[in-house]
Amino acid sequence: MFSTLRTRSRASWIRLGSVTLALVLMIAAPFFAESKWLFLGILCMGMAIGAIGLTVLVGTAGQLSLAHGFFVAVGAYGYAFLAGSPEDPQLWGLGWPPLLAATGGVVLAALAGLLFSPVAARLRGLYLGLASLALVFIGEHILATARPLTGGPNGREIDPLAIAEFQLSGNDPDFSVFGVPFGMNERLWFVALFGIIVAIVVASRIVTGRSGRALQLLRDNTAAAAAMGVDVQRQKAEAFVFSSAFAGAAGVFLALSYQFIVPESFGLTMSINFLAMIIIGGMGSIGGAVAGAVIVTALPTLITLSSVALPFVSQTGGAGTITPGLLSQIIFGAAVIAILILEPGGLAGITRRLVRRIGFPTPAETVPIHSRTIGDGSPTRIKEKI
Amino acid sequence: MKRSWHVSAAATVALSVLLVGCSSKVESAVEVDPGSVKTDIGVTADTINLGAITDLSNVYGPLAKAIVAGNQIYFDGRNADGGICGRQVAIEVQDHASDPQKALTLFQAMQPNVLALTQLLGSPVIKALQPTLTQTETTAAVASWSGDFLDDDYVLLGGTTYPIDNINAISYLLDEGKIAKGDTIGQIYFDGDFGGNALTGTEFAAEELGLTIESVMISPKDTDLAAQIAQLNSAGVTAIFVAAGPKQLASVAGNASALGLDVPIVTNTPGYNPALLTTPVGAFIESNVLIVSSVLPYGDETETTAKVVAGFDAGVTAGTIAADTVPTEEVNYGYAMATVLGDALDTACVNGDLTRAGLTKAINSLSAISTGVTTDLDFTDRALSPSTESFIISPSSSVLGKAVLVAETGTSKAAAAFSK
Repeated sequence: MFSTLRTRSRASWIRLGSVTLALVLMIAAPFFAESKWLFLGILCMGMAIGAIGLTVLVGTAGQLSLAHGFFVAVGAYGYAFLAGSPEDPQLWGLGWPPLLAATGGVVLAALAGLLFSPVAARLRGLYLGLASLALVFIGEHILATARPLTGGPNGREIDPLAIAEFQLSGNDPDFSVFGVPFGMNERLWFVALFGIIVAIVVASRIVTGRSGRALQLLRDNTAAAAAMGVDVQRQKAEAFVFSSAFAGAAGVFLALSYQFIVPESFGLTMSINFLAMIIIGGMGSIGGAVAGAVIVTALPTLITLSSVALPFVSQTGGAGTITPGLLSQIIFGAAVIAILILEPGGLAGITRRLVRRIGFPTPAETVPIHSRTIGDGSPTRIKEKI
Repeated sequence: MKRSWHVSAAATVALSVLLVGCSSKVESAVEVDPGSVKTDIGVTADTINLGAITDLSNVYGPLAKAIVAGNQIYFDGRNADGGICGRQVAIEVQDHASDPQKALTLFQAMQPNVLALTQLLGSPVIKALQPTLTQTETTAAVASWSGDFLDDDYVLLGGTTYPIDNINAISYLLDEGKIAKGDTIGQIYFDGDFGGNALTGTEFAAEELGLTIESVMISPKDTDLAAQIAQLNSAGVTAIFVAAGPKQLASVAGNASALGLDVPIVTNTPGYNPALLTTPVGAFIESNVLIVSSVLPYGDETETTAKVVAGFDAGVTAGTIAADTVPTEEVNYGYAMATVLGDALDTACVNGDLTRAGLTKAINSLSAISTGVTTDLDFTDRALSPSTESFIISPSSSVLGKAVLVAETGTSKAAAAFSK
């Protein structure tokens, strides 16, 4: 910890340098990128926060959850409810200051996770996945019927995040930085950047810390973990609560960027997409979850926007052509299958291989599981050696 | 460790400030071109760019293609006649596949390049985009007739709202003697801005005209409505209103026919699909179903509808309209919405203001648009339904558009008393 500048290894300097470079690029982005790219970036960052929560739950703790979208919805609607105006005749709202409401949304999602955690602590693998799937359908029903809370099928408008009168996710008041007008997307970009950094730091600390090691042992051998003094039920419940809180934070960010939330946004597709993100990224890898979130969120839109130039793609889908929406689904599905077959470790696995080939020693970090049957929770493949 | 992170932080700040200082992203301003027409977004010296964000690859695909075709036919015609305000009109079509998030992203991407949207389809999508439309002052013609979307300066509804359609239809059935005062009528509806909105009209008409309503809420996932029809049957309904999709209409017809419930079944525009006529319940649908709509059936009965048919055929031949597009009244609707925008653009041009604000002002001044394919439209009070008249249409397998006009209801007395 107290090593001097001189004694730091080359690899860690490179690591530090790349983090610095990434930060600089992220900070500078709003000054150069068009609003539409910023918006896509904000969505990616919001989704990434949720994916980090799920990758810790599924990858590190080995608990399959198909209900991530439900907890995202709790965060989003929780914020809408807490920050909503109490004067609205049709919708309930508490009129909390938005920052407090945002924290409240995360807490509500964590509480929802806590309520579900007795189930999470007792079931594992596919059984837990199926039990959590029920939450998605219960959630869909609640969103459609709890009108005063959710607006029902009509959805609910989101109050912008603001400190006093200064909106962090709106256009009010007008202001510019270095001559660049700072509208909603520019401001929200920085809020999301702050959120994703906090999420990465917190998640890394948990994964590499005591409870992360306990979770990995739990995942690989419950009996051994119990013998080592790990409180099995409690650790499992904690992992679920932690992941739900991350989902809640993602929900708050998504709500802020959507400005209006409808039940259709939080269905089974969203939960499946989250799973796709962590599989593509490599289960258990935080960096992988971020990369996976960016790919899953941005790829369909990028393909839709750029594919009109291709001869076999037509917007209206005439004879012998396919629509960009269909093309992006095909490419997306093919990418997931290719990754699962070629490198079950996902992008994280590919990166590790590349780094090793170049010859830098990788920092000792937790090794994610690669491909295990989720059925009985026992590892069927030897973990990759560091 | 600590010191090196300090170095990193300092470097981050310094580099960021350096980079940011070089930014070239500057504010854009309203431009006044030599032709003295004021423009801001989406309009250049020779082109007016419009957008359409719709569902081409998911459940509404066939419907959306027909609307796109209608949009295209109108603007192709205008472009051939020299364009609007001396400019050609171009439509950029994007596919949101019924995903609100994707629609929002596509809108953000398209927004800086287009003046307005000729089409925005899907209730969740419209609702998700409403705040953004308002912020960017972008007008969007929507493929919905829900009164829930009224009172918004940027959502353009092109016809009679569902509740007014239903009130007119009930009045029509009474006038024709198909139902009588004191009767019970059934209403099957989807919850939300379509069915829920239609129900308000049915309930209002029942109150005004002395009828009883037996309403049953269903979800789009319910496609077997045997229990619901049995419930309506035992309630002794003399007519069934269906504010749901074509699959639900098929089930309503099938079960009613099985129970011998030989009553008129009235559906709103989104409930009918010509493909229903080729199903086993096709004959029953043809004899019992009526469609209440403010859009004329596809076909060549009138001068304008004939023009649309000719435009459609020419478009398919030329390849600008996808060959697998099924022509339905949605083509007419697309044509109608394009006509509204076209008229508004003409007015805005005369006012010398082709900006977004100018377009909104122009739309709000249009008091009597005759699209030739819908009832006449009035946009001077955006809190009110643009039209209060309806067409009663009957499915028919023997004609081109698989539906024929039966009657024009005009504005019924009860509809005139309805607030939205």
